[in-house]
Amino acid sequence: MEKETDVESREVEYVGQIVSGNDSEFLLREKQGAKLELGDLLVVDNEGVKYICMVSELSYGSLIAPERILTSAGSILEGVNPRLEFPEKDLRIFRQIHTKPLLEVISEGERMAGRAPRSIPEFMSKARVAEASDFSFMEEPRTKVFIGDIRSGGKTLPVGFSMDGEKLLSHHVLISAQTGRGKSNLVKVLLWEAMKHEKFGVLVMDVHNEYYGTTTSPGLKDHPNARRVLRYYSRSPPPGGQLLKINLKSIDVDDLKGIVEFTEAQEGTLEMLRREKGAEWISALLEWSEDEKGSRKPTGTIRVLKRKICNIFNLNETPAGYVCEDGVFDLGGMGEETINDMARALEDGKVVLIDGSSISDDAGLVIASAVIRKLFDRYEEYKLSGTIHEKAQIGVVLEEAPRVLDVAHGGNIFSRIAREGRKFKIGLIAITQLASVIPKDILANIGTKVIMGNEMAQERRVLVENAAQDLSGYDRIIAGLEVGEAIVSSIFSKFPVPVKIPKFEEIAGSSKAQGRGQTQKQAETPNMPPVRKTYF
Amino acid sequence: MHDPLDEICEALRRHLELPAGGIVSGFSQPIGEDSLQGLHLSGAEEIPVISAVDGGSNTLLRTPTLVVVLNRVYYNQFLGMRKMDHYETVEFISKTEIIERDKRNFFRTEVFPLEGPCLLSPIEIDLKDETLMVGTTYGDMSRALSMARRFCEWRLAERAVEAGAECILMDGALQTAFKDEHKVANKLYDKAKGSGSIVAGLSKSTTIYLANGFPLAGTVDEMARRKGYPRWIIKLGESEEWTHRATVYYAKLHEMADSGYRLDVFEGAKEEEVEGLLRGLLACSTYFGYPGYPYPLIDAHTYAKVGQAEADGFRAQILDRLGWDECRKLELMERALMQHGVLDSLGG
Repeated sequence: MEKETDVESREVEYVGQIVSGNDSEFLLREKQGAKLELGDLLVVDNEGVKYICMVSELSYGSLIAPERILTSAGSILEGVNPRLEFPEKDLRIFRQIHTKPLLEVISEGERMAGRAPRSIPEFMSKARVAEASDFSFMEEPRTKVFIGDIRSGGKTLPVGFSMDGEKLLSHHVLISAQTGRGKSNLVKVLLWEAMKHEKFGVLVMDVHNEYYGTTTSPGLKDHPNARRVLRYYSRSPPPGGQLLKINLKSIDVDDLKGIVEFTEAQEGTLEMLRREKGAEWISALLEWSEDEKGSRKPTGTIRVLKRKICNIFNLNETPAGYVCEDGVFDLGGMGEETINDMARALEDGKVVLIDGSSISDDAGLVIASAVIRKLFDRYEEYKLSGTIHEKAQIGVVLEEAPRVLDVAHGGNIFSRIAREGRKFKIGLIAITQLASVIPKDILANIGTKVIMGNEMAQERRVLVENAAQDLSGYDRIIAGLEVGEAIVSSIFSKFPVPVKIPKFEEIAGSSKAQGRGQTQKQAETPNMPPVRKTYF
Repeated sequence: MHDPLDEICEALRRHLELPAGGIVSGFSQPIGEDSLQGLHLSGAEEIPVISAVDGGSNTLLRTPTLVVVLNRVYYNQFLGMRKMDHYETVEFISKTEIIERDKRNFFRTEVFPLEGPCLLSPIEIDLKDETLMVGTTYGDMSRALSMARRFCEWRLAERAVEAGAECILMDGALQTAFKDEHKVANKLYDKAKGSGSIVAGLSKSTTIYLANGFPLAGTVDEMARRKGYPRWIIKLGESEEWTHRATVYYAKLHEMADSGYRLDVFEGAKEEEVEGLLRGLLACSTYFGYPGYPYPLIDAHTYAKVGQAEADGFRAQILDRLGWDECRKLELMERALMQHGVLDSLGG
């Protein structure tokens, strides 16, 4: 395409011109050959202000009568009369580009600052494709957590988008995507980034044991700080790992809430057991004999409760008593400090990774609940004593979050974190395909939503309605997001940021390379991307 | 009692019984199926460079005795459907007013160039000149307001010849309408002749009819259908009007064209020159949005057109420079011409 010069005599390749619109959408006529795509970022330069907008819809425009177009198309298509031509620069047929204004970048003296759009560009202003320098207004966050590179449609700009870890975690994060769109990769990237600071305690119940890494695939174990900030619990721990052994005395009745369904009578019985037996309530329940004379406990209820508890913790009755089949839970004296240790590690700013592959999902959630409950109690005390600001920010990775956050399970610890965790420096990283199942008040409480590809219209609608910015018109953009592509809508961001999340392997790989002293070499290589800019 | 609509239908039926031929009104020679020629697509034969000339205008201010018009005249160069780099635009404001001199009234037109050279000197035409009178009525501004643009089109066509056009294609017939317009047209013809160029005009619509009362359009189309010609041309002859120095044809340039178009070719063009022109026209009339109409004329129309928004902008600038009382008086005069829509706006 031909280049023109802008007001500052720079060569610019314009791709469109604003022909109509309003403060929520600019309609551009596309320059022939520009081939813009959904999600592309465009910039309109006006005096002292530049407008950054995103392509949200593409349509055809024509000044020719529709009947004539249909006749001619039919003629060409059916081969009736191929002697029809489209002139090279026909002004009567074109593509219309609908764009959503993302933000205005205004010059404040020497520096540039971004703000939510408040005005519209001059009529007939020309637009160009955004480039890295357009994001020079972004500022370095205090404790930066890199999320991805800013993306213009399918193209990635060499501009990193990072958020302040404290703000990000304290105000909760929602990661929403359909299967296979890169949720796990994003979590790994976030954890990797969090580990850099050695001040974020993140609890992860890794149900597929995919975050730690193996000898053949990189994982969090490969982080340069892993030795100091990663606590890995597994039934079969590698050297340096911790044995996952939980004493059932660490589990409270409340830890089962929202994870196991109980009738009112069963809940009443559990409460009574806890009141009478304290931490030994599970042992007491299992030891209860139906022959016990004069008991006030209802026999049928006890029997069902026993079965449920055995199912969750994989307990089997043997002549020697109840034994945990997978060896993770213990009714004797082992593993009494594990939950405490986990809570303490989190408080120390460590990532606590629990290999949940050998236990049921329910058991994993019960463990997480026990840890968080313990931690919550402590943080409540810190808040009362006025020392909470000295404590590490905590995050809890919650896979298939709606299961424990939905309305029916409003009383569990996870719902409590979602509603009031921010005051106690405990935040959720909720991962789900079905954001629509999460109660609205919880969705509204989530400060950052990382929206990845989703083909379900209802889910997209919920995400759009609950985003921190106006995402109306983003429906097709969200539907078309490829693996690793996302839109980050956060109360801490001035605009919905389109990002491409790098593959974890790339991040872990480059970090290893740096560890081998190749940073200098990288900086000297002319083809390497420029230093990443960051935001907040 | 006969139903009036039945009588209308009866008359229409008679009207639709198209004749096999006849003498075209205003022309001397008779036409028939034998006069019709099929047009064949050229193979490797050369096609000429065609320059289309068109003008556009929009009224900025209008009182009963003064009119200010924004005009734009444009020409291009095409080889088939391919636009060449050369084109030229002339843009000017024309002011036409009725003046009095020696107890006679004249239309006086002056032009004020905005872009390109000033191609016209002031024009003065007597209000009672027959070219501007409608019946016995004279002094109608609407007849005079397009005068400057029309004169300028001829002048710009000369520049297109100078720029190397082999065929000049004007929008409309080559008839001249205003006093002394034929002099400007003749200058173009002379220049074209000297350069070996050919001047033609193409009209989208035509009211030409046969002396037997049937329209040319339809009669010739039916002839072509019977002959099986997808594209065709028929020579109507030389016009009997003394100011009109052209041979007139009626032609359909594309099989998908909705109708034929009147084609005027300046008198004296050689047969091979006309054949070259037709080859060129066939090659450039394949636009999918308007098959059968030469694309250079579509292009020229696009760039010559003066939009309402553009005109409104100029009008605003003029009014800005006038005082409040001047604007008030102007509005009083303009109102005299703006009452047409009032009744419609009352509804009912």
